[in-house]
Amino acid sequence: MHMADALLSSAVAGGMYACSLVAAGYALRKVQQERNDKILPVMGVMGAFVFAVQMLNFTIPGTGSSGHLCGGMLLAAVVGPYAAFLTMIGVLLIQCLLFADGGLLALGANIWNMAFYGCFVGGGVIWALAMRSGMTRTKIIIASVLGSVLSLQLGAFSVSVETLLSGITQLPFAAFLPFMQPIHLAIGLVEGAITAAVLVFLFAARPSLLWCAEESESASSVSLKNVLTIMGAAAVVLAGGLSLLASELPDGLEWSLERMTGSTELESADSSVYALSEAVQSVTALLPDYNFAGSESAAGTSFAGVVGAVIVMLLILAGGKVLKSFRGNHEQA
Amino acid sequence: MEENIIEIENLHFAYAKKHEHKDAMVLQNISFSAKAGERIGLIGANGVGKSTLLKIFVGLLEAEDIGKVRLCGLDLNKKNLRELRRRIGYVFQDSDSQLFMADIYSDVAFAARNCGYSEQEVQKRVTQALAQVHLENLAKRQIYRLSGGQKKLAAIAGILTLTPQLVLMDEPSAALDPKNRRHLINILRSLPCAQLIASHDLDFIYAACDRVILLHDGQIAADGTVKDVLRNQELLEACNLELPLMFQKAD
Amino acid sequence: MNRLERAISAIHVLDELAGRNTLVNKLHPLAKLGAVLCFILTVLSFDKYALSGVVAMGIYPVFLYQLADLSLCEGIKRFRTVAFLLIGLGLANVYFDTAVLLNIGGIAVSGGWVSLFVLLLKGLWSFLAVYFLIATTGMEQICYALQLLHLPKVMSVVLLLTYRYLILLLQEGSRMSAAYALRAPYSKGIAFNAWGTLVGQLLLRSIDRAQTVYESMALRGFDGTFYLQRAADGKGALAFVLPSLGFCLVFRLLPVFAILGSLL
Repeated sequence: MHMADALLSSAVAGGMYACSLVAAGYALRKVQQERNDKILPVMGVMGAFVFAVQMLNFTIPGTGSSGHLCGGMLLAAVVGPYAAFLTMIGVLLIQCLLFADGGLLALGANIWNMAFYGCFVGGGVIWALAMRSGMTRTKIIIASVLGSVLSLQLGAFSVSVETLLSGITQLPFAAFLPFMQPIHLAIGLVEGAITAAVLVFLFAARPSLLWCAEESESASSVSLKNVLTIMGAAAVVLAGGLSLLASELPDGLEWSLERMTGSTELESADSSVYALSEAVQSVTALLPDYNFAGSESAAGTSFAGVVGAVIVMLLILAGGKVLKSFRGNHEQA
Repeated sequence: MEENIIEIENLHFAYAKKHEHKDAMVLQNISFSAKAGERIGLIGANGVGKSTLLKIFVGLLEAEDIGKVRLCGLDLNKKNLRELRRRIGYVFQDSDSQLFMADIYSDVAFAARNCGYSEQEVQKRVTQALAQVHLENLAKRQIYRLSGGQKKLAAIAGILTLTPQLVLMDEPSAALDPKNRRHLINILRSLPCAQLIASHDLDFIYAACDRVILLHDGQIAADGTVKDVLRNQELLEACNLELPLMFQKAD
Repeated sequence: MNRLERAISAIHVLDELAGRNTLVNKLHPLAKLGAVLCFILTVLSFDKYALSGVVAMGIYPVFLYQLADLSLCEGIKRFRTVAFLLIGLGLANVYFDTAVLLNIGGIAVSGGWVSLFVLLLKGLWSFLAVYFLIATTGMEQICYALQLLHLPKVMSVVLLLTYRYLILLLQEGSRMSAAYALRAPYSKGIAFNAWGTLVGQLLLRSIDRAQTVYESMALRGFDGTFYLQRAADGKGALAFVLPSLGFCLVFRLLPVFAILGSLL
């Protein structure tokens, strides 16, 4: 479910960063309020734990295929939603740097899709509510499955929305969604089952490890209201960011925005640059026969441009090789 | 006269049990003292309270009203804890848990940086500490690439940066091969600070220490030179230990 | 090799690369982080049909890889998994977007194909840039750069600890799944009845380890901050950042090669 950089437009990537930052700031304040140094190594080591567990293959009974664990909800049930969220941010950042799972710019979106829902909705709301009046095995199982399914559904929905807002794919929303949600229902059920199995084991082996909101009522209980407030704020931030950068949006959205506002004045500085370069290009096109027909944006119109760029890259590569062999000889001498 | 590094009178300790049935006394009537630079082995069978004693010394186990404990010229209490931890180095049994930074240099520098030394001073101390354990060439090596022996030495270097007066070690020879064990013994012998080494590896203690304290049933069963205690088969067997391999007769 | 072992060896390789002594490795981490972020932002801001613009952006990573003596092939190889995802989504465009956009010697190319290609290139360039960053900088130095950007202390401690214990737990996970596989040779993964115990055991051990780590930190005067080694110095940082920004700006705003062509 990691989104790659290329799937997001800068505007959506930035918007999601803003959303995740808001949530992270909130979580950070809560964690710091507890003034508990002991939680830091737990968060660090558990981050590595989540990492390792994500790489295990779990056989799904009756299907022969294997599933994986994302771990947000599991973590939240052990260290609480706030510490879990910060831990997951660390995990996702390292994942994006070391293993190229998701990109640096898509990190904001990935944090939101994969960590926020699991930790805050799965752990902070569902788990906390279910365990309010004491834990039982059954409650653990129900909360795990429910929380995992719900957070994966929300995550999948966010992925669809972000992709479509970015205008990367022409796949209609109505076709994308029925594709994403059922798949993630299955993934969510597996996630829920693994989470439940682990938490039930912990409940039997060392119940004191499981997090429940009652213990530290003042600092760490999450109310549904708080989560909804964050999500609402995120939606506003996202919408605001999007409308600011509307010029980057795909034609359809721009068109509907125009219709809504009744004006065509949604131009940005970029369009004048486009116009300028287009003018330059129409005069100077080297290979007019090979031009892109009917393309609106001038940046993508010159076949000569492609050829030229490729040639330069090859030259750099060759230069590097030559330099390297020269250096090699030099060191040998 | 110079004050003793360790001065303990009548120490007793029990773990607080959560499910109350009976307080199991782990340590009782422990009294001994040690001079600066002394190398003492703390031996005893598994679960006899060796690690517990070491952890009490550095305040990892909270203990109130446990008797008189005076270390490095300071009474053991909450107020003195920070300063005590500066003067006492503690080497964990599991080096991987002790070395939590990514490479040797940053891990060895950790304590010195926390004490607020300038980066120049930190560098001087780290270089010196690494030289003491002969790891000066591996400063930039990632921890996970080290062998078990190197990890142990790095862990020791990490506490030497503060030039402790007393070093406590928990099973330092565990999981070391014979060559690394030998190497560790030589290094420990070359350190000027007092050492208290908890171990049930009696051959190691015999080589690394001059004096031995034998714990049994939460009490001190013997306190003497390594030669006296470690050759006393009767005494050792009464405490569920065996003679060091080097003294066992080949059958 | 299973995923766990692949991950371990990937980290080994990256550590080795980051530990080298090239000119780029010695640059201030903040400079590299900034330049890479700016580059990715620029790449992503191109229109979905902007083929020649996006292709030209590739000059930057190709040049950087030569400068840092990194293998482009290795970078492209690692890009594979991401590429599948991108192609999957891009193919939808091929299906829906059939308007002819380009005509190469009589062969009509639809907008869908162009956008698929642009999508792939965007993915590749941003991927190469991130790989460049980590392979020449290393996790600790990136953390240092983030600290300079006021990353909260809590986060930098968590990041560094996660990184430190990553390999250890990957190895532990690898041993556990190997031990499991030896006793359940016909199972492809971990069977349902072992999910809880296997992962649960690993979790318990991790928590216990965290306890010892905490003790070790406390004994050595931990006060909530990891003091990291300072980056060498800011020397050369500007000489790296300014051309990078310049490149992004020029190639984003102007069809450089079209202009060059016209001058010839």
